[in-house]
Amino acid sequence: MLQDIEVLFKIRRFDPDVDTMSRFESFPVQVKGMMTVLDGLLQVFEEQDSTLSFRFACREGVCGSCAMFINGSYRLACQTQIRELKTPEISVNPLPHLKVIKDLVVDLDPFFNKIEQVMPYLETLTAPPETEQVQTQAERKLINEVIDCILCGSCYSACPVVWFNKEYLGPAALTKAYRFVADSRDGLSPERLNQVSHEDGIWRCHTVFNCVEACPKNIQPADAIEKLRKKTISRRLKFWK
Amino acid sequence: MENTTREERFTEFWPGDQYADVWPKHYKAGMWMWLFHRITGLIIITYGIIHLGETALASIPGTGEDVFNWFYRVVGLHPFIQFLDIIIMTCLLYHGFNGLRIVLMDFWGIGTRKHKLLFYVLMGTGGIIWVLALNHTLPYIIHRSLW
Ligand code: SF4
Repeated sequence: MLQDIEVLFKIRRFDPDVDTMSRFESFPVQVKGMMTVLDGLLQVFEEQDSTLSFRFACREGVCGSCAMFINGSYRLACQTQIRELKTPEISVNPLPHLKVIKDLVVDLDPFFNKIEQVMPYLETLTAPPETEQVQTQAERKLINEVIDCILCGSCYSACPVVWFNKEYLGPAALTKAYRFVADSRDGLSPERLNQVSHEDGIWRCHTVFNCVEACPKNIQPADAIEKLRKKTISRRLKFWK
Repeated sequence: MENTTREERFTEFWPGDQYADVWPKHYKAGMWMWLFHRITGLIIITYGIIHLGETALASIPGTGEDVFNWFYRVVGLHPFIQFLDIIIMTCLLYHGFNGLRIVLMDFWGIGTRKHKLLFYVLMGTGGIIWVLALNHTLPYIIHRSLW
């Protein structure tokens, strides 16, 4: 039986109607069993301060709503065990570099606008078959990793290029583009490659690999961007392999 | 504040802005590699400009040559400047080998999934060259500073 412990949640609060600056507020949280940070936030919300705002939905790491900057790393609150952090104090920040609407809720509009720009849907160009679209195992394997993206915005928030250039498409959108370029059923690959091949697209990436470190689903957006680059180059320069 | 839309307000400085992840204590390996690449690049270009100006002196007949000779003897061979040379060499090796990593990743997609391993291998190679070069300069610096 695990012993109950008490940890201090240091939560960054910001209420646009009252505050002129964001500030930290501390809440003691009783940790019972294997509680996640999201459970801790819910406990604070239910027992101490019901004005605390944060996003969550699935509480099992598939909706991507609860991405936060917890103890110096980008994490999903629902996938982070409080005990695993091994610190008596846990700092909870909203995703940095995004506009804070209230407390831990950030404005993800710029992020989703960019996802929309890369046509995040399958275009087969051929008439739909009678049954399902068949893919071989090898073909499926190509998109095995990138298909996992839950659009949490961690990589976007972590990317130093995005910090300074708000036009840059960002790791998530480019990974999404790669996901459809690599998909054997998709017919729009040339258009997709053209669409991301501009100075605020794939060529803006500085390979800092912050996205790789940040992604809670272990996707490697930097790798996807490099593959897009390679595909673009070999399409334009036929001799380049 | 009431009469503005969210979009209008967000374009300006927003008091809720926070940048918790810009502190160096949160940087991961790739961030340091990128940052040092920038810093060494700046050092190298500054050095390059000074070096170009200094050697260009030698091409001016008469006074220029004298100034260059003086500069070379008094400044260039000074142990402290030699020590700075080691720093320049370190920067060059880092910038060169890290640049090689970037070229390999960008042009051929080599090592994008193992960029840290690639980094350590290249830095290891750079380190060997560094030690060999140091083996050459360090005795000279020690000799000059004692003498
Ligand atoms: S690539 Fe990873 S970090 Fe980026 S949005 Fe998708 S799941 Fe989140």
